[in-house]
Amino acid sequence: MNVEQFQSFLDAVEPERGATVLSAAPIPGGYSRDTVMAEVRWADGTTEKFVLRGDPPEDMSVFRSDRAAEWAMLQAVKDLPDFRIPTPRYFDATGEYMGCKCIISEAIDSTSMQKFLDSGPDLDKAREDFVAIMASAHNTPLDSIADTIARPTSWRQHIEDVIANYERMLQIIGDTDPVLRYTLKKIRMNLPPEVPMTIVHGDLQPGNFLLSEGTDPYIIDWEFSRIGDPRLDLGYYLQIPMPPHLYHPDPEAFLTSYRALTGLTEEQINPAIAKYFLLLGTSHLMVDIIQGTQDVTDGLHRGVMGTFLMTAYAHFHNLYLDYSLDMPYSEVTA
Amino acid sequence: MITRPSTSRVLEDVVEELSRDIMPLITDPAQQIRMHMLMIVLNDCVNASEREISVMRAEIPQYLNFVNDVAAATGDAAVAAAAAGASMGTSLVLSDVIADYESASRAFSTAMDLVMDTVNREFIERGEELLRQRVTNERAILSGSSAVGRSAS
Repeated sequence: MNVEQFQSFLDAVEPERGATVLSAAPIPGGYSRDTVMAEVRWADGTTEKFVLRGDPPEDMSVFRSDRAAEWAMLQAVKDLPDFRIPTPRYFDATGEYMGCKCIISEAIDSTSMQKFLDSGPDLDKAREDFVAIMASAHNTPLDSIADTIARPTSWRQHIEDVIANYERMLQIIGDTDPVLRYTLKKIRMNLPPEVPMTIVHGDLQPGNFLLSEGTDPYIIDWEFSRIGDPRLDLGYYLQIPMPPHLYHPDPEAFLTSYRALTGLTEEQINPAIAKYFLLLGTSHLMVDIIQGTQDVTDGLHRGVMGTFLMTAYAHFHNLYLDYSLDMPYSEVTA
Repeated sequence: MITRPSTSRVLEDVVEELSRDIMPLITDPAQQIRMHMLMIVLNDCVNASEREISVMRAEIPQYLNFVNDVAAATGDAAVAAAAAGASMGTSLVLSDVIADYESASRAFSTAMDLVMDTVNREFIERGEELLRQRVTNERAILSGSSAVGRSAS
């Protein structure tokens, strides 16, 4: 995803506009996709900035997601009234021009909510803002989402598919991890009440909220998005290690606001169920992490992430055991 | 064998070289992040090289005792088969110890499944304590959560 590649792409898709790519610089950080900030000058003299988001080479990456599915979701949500995303502009669906499948979106002059939190704001207010953004995605009516986005046939089938991530993990490592097997059993003993399915972002955290002067916040990085149980996003956020955390200091305050904005009941979402959904909301990532460690075990190279993500493996392991130990036993295994 | 320095000390020295002399020369932020990640991995390897064999050799008999006790108390055929299929050999070669540890872990899971399904409180408490100890040992070697490289956009 360099200047020459982006130039040839724009020459192909915008032949009348006379693009000149002025720069294309990688944005450091992030565990999953390669991201580049690019600036373009058009023939009419205007300039525009873009964010290019593409797949790293397979031998340099651990997390797997489908750029075409992400593009479809971006198309499905870009005009929804309840929340904003940076406008998705182009998609190199084959990698013919950009060297990899690549989504090109408008760049927003913004700061991430994580950086804002680092500046020491009023955290009660920040918590309310965070919950409001989360709820804005979760309140999206399913009938406003294009049929191109896959829908589980039922909540139960969807949850079973998520729980099956634990079966996938255990299969990858030859069932050698008693902590994962114990966690899976506790998950099955404690199925939560059903809630209406909606958009699940899959990586909903302050680093993926962009704050821009004079507009509502933007939500970015939709690679793990799907339709499903919104509590997956809530549980996922519980494990985010970057301080300051907006849930842990006062879970009740967080969940009271979330319930008020989404209409879910205390039976449907409370601190115990939020913990339950940490186990499920991180499971898609844990499958990839464990596959990465198994690949390294098998002599394959997965870049620095293949070994570095053992830190995340240990982090999740600790949380999984901690949270599942707290769950009650049931004679009835779902 | 040359024992001075030990493998863990060699790795510590490599990390020191990387952080003191190599890291300051790296100006590309993306490569700085990669180097930070690699140093975390190497520091975990320092811990692992010191202890991983002894940790696994300490845990294996506890798993095997648990499985044998569950098999004896319940008469369950699957647990008895798991107990019969797991053992701790005399080899201290890492790959042999890992193989023993993995088979003991599978057997432990089989026994734990049974006591959870039947809500056998006495064995559950004992099994949960072994799981806690396993994660505690793991945390002493692996550094756990790290925000290095997490994008703040």
